[in-house]
Amino acid sequence: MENDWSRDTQKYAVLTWISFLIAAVFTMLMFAFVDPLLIVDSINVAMLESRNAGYAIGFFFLWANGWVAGWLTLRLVRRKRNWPKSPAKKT
Amino acid sequence: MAKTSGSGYEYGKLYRSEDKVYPREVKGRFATLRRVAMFVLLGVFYGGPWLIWEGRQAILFDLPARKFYIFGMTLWPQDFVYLALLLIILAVSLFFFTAIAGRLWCGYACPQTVWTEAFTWIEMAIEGDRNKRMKLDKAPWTLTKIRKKALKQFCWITLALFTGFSFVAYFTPVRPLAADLVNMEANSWTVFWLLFYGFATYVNAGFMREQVCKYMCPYARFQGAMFDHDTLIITYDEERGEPRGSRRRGSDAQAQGLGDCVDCTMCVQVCPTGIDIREGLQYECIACAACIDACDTVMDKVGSPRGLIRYSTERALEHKSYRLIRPRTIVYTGILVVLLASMVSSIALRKPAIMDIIRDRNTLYRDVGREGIENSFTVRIVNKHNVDHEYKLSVSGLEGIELRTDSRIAVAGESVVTVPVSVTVPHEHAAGGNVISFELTSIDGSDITVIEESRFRGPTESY
Repeated sequence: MENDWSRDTQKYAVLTWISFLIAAVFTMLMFAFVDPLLIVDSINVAMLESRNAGYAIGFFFLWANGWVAGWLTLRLVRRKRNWPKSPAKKT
Repeated sequence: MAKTSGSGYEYGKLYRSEDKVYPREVKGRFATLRRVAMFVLLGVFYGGPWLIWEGRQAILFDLPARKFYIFGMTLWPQDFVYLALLLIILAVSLFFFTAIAGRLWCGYACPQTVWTEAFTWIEMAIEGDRNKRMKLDKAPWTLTKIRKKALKQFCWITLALFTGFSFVAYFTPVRPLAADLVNMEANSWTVFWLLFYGFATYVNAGFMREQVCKYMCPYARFQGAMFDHDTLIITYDEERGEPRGSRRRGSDAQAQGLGDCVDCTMCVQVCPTGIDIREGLQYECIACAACIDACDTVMDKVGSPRGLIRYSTERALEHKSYRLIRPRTIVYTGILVVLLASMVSSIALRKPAIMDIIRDRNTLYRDVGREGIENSFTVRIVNKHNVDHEYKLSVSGLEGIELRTDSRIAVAGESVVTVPVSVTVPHEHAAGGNVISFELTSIDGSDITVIEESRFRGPTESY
């Protein structure tokens, strides 16, 4: 198996990992103030009726949120394809 | 300062394709130290949940009950400030150690390194050292290869699942959890997180390895900001080593115009991130010191002094003196001392009870005739002790202020009680918004007093 990471693989790996780390930290911060039962109660699905479900929903929500924000940012700041070759800069 | 290895970057090609890194096994001082660190840290992680303290699991983050037990101390969500402080202290410590000793964290303590080390160790035990592994990967799928690969996967998956189990055991009491798992009765969320963490371990330590450090780790990218010329880094002594080249045993290297580096490439072969340290400090370097061990071994063999690759600083390489006390370290030490002191003192002075006063949001105030103006509050009392307490609630701050509800409140150990409370103030003193304070005092002999402020609202004086 070759560990040949293309630009895209790198991009998605970084995106997934960083949003995961940030989500982990913010899950801790959020649930220090918010009781996960609040989330569960407002969703009101029979299957998800425990604090544990609330924690999981909160974590994955934050993760998805960070992922989408990061993905959009990457899309919007992406450099043009076929960037013209610039003349060598004199330093 | 940091020179990148990426001399091959071109327009239109922003990455370098890289081959799989097969780190060679290395023996030496730092390899031993790293192995010791690995066993100690993994031992702490895997053993942690099994510790018992005063009849309860010593470290248990009981999320469903929203209580954290840490060695006899019980933390509530309201104690969140300690968690925040702890995270900040850990971050500043990381800056501090990075400024002094470079990437010690990466080389010895980072979970990514530790588990990669464990997984590589399994791989080496089953598939053999570097050359054997490279050969095995190229070889056709014979029965031996299938057997070796399957055995490796089995060991990896077992270790990953056990890691997941240990992780979950910090959140679910470990003994019942083990029993539930054996009886297939475990909570589905618990099983989900066990598999989730196990899978992450398996992928991160088994496959992604150094790629995590190179591409995904934010710390690796930010470390430049924490480094200075006195930071301990792993360096190749270019002055001594160059020009590098192979030589015949016993021949006079100096006469041939060669430096001490025999160009055996052992330092490259042992590197878990696959870089060549001789090209200078690179951000991929996780400072694991494997190249130091490898080079020292070679230097011993060829009869040159050790330390061609060694822990050093940029200033030392320029033959300048080393400074431990410098603005950067003074600032980091100062911040650390202040944070640690505030954390220790606030934990020591922690109140065993918490009171929250929540104003009734629906009605600002009520005119209750002769008694005056009434405000309603919800008082939430958290008893953090594991014994029951009885409290008396009183209110002050305005002339004639009175509590209309029962002032005696009993709260069982480690529980929360919410009571509606109404307060009245005579008309003549009730105008506008005034600060009042609630005082909660224990009346069972224990010495607990909590004071919280709120606002009393009355009609505005516009008539």
